[in-house]
Amino acid sequence: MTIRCSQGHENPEGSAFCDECGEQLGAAYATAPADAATATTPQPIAMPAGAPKLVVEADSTTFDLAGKTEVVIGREDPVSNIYPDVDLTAHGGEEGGVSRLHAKLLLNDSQYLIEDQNSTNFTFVNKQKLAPKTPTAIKDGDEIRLGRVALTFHTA
Amino acid sequence: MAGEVSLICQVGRERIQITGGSQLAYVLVEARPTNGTAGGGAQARMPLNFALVLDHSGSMKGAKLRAVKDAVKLVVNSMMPTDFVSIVIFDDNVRVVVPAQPATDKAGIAALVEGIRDGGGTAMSLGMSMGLTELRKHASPNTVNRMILLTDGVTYGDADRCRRIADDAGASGIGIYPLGIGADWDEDLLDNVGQRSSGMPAEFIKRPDDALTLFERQFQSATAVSVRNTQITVRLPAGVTPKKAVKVLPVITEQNPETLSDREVVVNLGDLERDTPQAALLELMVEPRPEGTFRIAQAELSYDVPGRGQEKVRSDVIVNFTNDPVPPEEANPVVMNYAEKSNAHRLVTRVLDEYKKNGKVTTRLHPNVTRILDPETQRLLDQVTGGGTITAEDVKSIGNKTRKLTQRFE
Repeated sequence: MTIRCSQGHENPEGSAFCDECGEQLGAAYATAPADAATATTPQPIAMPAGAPKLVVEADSTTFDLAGKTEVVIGREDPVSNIYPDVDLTAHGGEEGGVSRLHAKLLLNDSQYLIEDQNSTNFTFVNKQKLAPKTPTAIKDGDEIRLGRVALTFHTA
Repeated sequence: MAGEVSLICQVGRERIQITGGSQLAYVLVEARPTNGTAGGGAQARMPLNFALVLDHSGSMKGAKLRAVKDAVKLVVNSMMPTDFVSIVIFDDNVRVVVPAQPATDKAGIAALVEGIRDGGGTAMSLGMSMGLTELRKHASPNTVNRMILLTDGVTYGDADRCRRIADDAGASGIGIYPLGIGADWDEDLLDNVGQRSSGMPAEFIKRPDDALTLFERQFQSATAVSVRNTQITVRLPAGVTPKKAVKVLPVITEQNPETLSDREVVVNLGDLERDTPQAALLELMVEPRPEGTFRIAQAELSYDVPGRGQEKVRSDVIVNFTNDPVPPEEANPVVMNYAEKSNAHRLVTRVLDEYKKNGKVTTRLHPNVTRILDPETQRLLDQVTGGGTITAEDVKSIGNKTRKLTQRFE
């Protein structure tokens, strides 16, 4: 039995990536119903006033960060079992060069920090490139760019 | 007593849902040097037996030859009196500048290195053959035997001979570590020579200034060798056949299909360096099994401990076949990460091969592949797949970077 990628290339059952074009054959790899995977996907939720949040500049999607001390930002990848808190897949993450584990937002003594996780295309705060694995303080209104995807950080 | 190296096997999925058909299983086999030595106490490093085989053809003139001379002197200066060194230069001829000797007369060796002049063509097999002769004078199971092979050009009409010498070197426990400088060397041949000898694929010295760093790295890696002649053998039961094998650590290296037989897969790892794990990823086709626990492979790691002889460790690769649905989260992220990157490397290599051969590319890469590459590589690949051109240097640089994709886990 074989499975096909969207281009129609045939691959043996159990393959995670297409041999011919490299497309991820995640659905074939995931033998559970599709909703099991989406159930763990963090969804942006309605934002209570006065809470910290990240806003995607391109489409104004808001990720609420209230009550969290550590937030992983990246791209969901079921095959690698990576489910970030802030998933940018649907917000230009893939084309924009966002790594699966791209950056972490940390709350430390009421100070928010951002730390690049050795991403391929780097993290920038107000256009300044961050050194990997070095937490950097951020404040209200700062622009945070992951690869080519820009977000704005708000504390209120 | 074993214990210098641990053997770790991981599968893409520990549970496989029964579908009634053959299924592909990913198996990662890793040889990880442990910190302590079995004999107790910190072990002194093994003596080195180095042959530096250097291209001094006319095209090396100027900055390249200058940088290489400085780099060679640095390596010789870093050596201990228990190490052996020889220096061989080639153009269309070959000359032994420094016959194999203990690295004691460093000033004398430096003077001989300074005396090297550029001139002539490139006949690499002559240099390799002479380098091998010098290495054999002091090669023993207790020395780290390496040929550092530097060239900036394409060898003339003796590529097959170079490959045969690499096979001979490998059979004698001598690894070849090729360094290509400039844009005109033949990466296919140099990679092949490194791999056949159980050394490494070629490193790219993009600018003469980088020569020092790359020579120094060669020296450092040789001083970190803890065990030698390391080999992974994966034996397969009936109903399991190998589809692919690729070395994924320390760099991605496709394995010759010859290493895959119906019953076993053999991967030569050569010298194993402290703090540098080596690993191979296997794709196995597993015929349908009933519900239950099955061994789909047995991995064996063998290696030589200096002064003590061969050690072996074994590990079973076990999976559970089940009729229950297996959620995707059960996939092992480490194994899947290597699977993704080795697949990306294979496809990028295919694009580059196609480009080198035909000047145009028909392979289309899915964004899954390109997204894990750095922006510069993405841009260059877009250029060739869109019918544009890139330089020979770009081709080398993409190959070199893509091979190292597994050095970062993300």
